Amino acid sequence: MADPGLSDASLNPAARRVIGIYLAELANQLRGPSAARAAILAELGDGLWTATAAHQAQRMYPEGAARAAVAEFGDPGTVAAGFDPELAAATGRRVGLGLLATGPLVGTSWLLLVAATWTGAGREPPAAFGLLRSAAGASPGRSAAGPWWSRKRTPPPATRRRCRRTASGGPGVWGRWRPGLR
Amino acid sequence: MRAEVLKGHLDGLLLAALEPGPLHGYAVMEALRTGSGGRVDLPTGTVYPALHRLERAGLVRSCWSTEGGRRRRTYELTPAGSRALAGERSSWQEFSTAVSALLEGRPWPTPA
Repeated sequence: MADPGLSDASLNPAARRVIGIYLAELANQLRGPSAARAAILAELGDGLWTATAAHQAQRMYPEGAARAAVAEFGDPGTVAAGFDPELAAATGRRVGLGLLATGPLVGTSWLLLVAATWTGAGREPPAAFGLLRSAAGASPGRSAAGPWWSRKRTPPPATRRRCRRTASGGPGVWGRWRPGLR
Repeated sequence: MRAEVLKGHLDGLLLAALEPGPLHGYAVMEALRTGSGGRVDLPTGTVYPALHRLERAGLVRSCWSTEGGRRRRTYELTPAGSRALAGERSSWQEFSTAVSALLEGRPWPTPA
């Protein structure tokens, strides 16, 4: 029989099922933006597989090592509850950014609508409305570039920082702990 | 050692675990276990929300890399985290001296 400490638990279907069930239970109980939840699940998934490898290094079979890892991580409900404040903060940031992004658009749309009503009634809207139309790209002077919504968009900056890599090519931060290599 | 005993000290312990250098979440828990001779043995899953809280407070920062085909998040102390750790150490010294003095019936140590 193969040495259980030498086989890769992540290739073992039973071990994969154990870790998968735990992560699914955790996912069911996390409440917040999907990107934040996905990041939490990726992080804890990595932790669970690292723990499984550590248990395997103590000569456990893959499924037993995965079960030990899951037991070590604790009840998924308790873990999910621990993330509630962070996910609430992430939701707040998302809503705030959404309002920041859509607030001026909604305001401008209303003002343009009011300006159109003035024009429709045969009256010239106040000069301030002309400025707004220019800002929205509707004036002839801005037509070459087109209105703001048709211009090329700059991709948003990366929201997640990537680790700096060392000269050896590795992330340079893993040397302090590796399962079975202590 | 139960979680409720550690309540109020977990942040300091996590910052201390990260003081020698960056670690991922599981390695932070292992550092606590090893450094306490196995006496600090919290459910590993509860360490991750605490690390996220410290990051939101600006005491640690994290980055992502790929290790063995999996995405891995690693934490390190920020300068504010180092200052907070120094503060935790100083207040722990004062607290433990006071409790030791009371439990053991010794007078409060006065400077010579």
